[in-house]
Order: sequence, then C-alpha cells, then structure tokens
Amino acid sequence: MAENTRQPPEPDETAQVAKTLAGGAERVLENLAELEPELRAAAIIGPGGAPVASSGSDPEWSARAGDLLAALDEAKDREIDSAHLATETAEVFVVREHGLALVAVTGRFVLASLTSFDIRMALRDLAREGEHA
Amino acid sequence: MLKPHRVLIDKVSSYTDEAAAFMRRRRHHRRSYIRIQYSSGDAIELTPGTPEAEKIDAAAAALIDLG
Repeated sequence: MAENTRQPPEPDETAQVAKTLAGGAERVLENLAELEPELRAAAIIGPGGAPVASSGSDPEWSARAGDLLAALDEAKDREIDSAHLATETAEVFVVREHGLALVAVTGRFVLASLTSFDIRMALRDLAREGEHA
Repeated sequence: MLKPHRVLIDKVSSYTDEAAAFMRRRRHHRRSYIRIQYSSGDAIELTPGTPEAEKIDAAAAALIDLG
C-alpha cells in the first residue's frame, strides 16, 4: 500500500486561498452549469478541504462534498485524481486539479468522459486565475 | 417461402430477444459503481458492500439528497 504523504496546508494559508479564489470559483461553476445541462449542483473544495464555492441550494452542500472527497481519499489512503460514482438516481463526479477539487452531481446517463473533461478544464481555468491573482 | 408457423416462431423469438436485451440494458444502467483514478494512472472500481465503498456511498447519498 502506498504511504500517505499528504501535508495539510496551514489553516491561514487555506483560508487565504479560498478567499482569493471565491469570486472566480462562482463564475467557473456558472460556466460549468451552462456547459452541462444535467448538472444539479457542484462545489469547489480548496486545499485542506476548505469550501471555496458551491452552487448547491443547501448551505451544507460544500461540507457534504468535502466529506465525500475525504471518504474517497481514505478508501485506499491515497489522494485521488478523479472519481465517478453512479447511483440509481444520479451520478457524482469528483476531479482534483492543482490542489483544488470539484465535486458535481448530475442526472443519470450523462457522458462521463465529457463531463470529467469539462470539470477538469474548469478547474484549470480557476487555478490559472489563482496564479495570476 | 417460409411456412406460416415458421414466421410466427421467428416473430416471437425476435420479440423475446428484444425483451431480453432491454432487461440486460436496464440492469446495466441501474448498476451502482464507484470508480477511482489516481494521479499515478492506477484506476480501481471499489467492490460494493466493502466498508470503504459503503462509506463513500453514504457520503454520496447525503450529497445527492441535499440537492
């Protein structure tokens, strides 16, 4: 089994990253919703699990998305790159890029590879913005 | 030319083939799964019913229920 070598960022650093990215993250989620008509809700989680932005109607959405991300990382005690879950009623996509993670819930039977690609591109856009901020 | 009973048998068997294919597709579509990819390129599909799969299922269900 691979050793978990993740180093959690300092709390101040985490809060600072989340604050810097929040405006851009909301715009990225809006763009993603335009690209994915089947998207129900999505959230962006920053380094250390800090919620950055969410399109979920419930304020708890980001926290639950963070719980899912943590459960996926804990499955094999390794940080995931991406995950795709299908249930009877919905599909969940999780993509991690540049230390940011996007968790999205869609309707059933979306094109998985296309949705994952769009999510990854959205995160890259956001990461680029963060670098220039 | 085929005998009438042959035509009937062919029709019935084609309908049953269609029905079986529909059931197969439906079963496949309704199947739940968890697929994970790591940055090393490894990909796994978690076995349903294992503790880690159940934990992930519960977290996903909570998220989906919130809408």
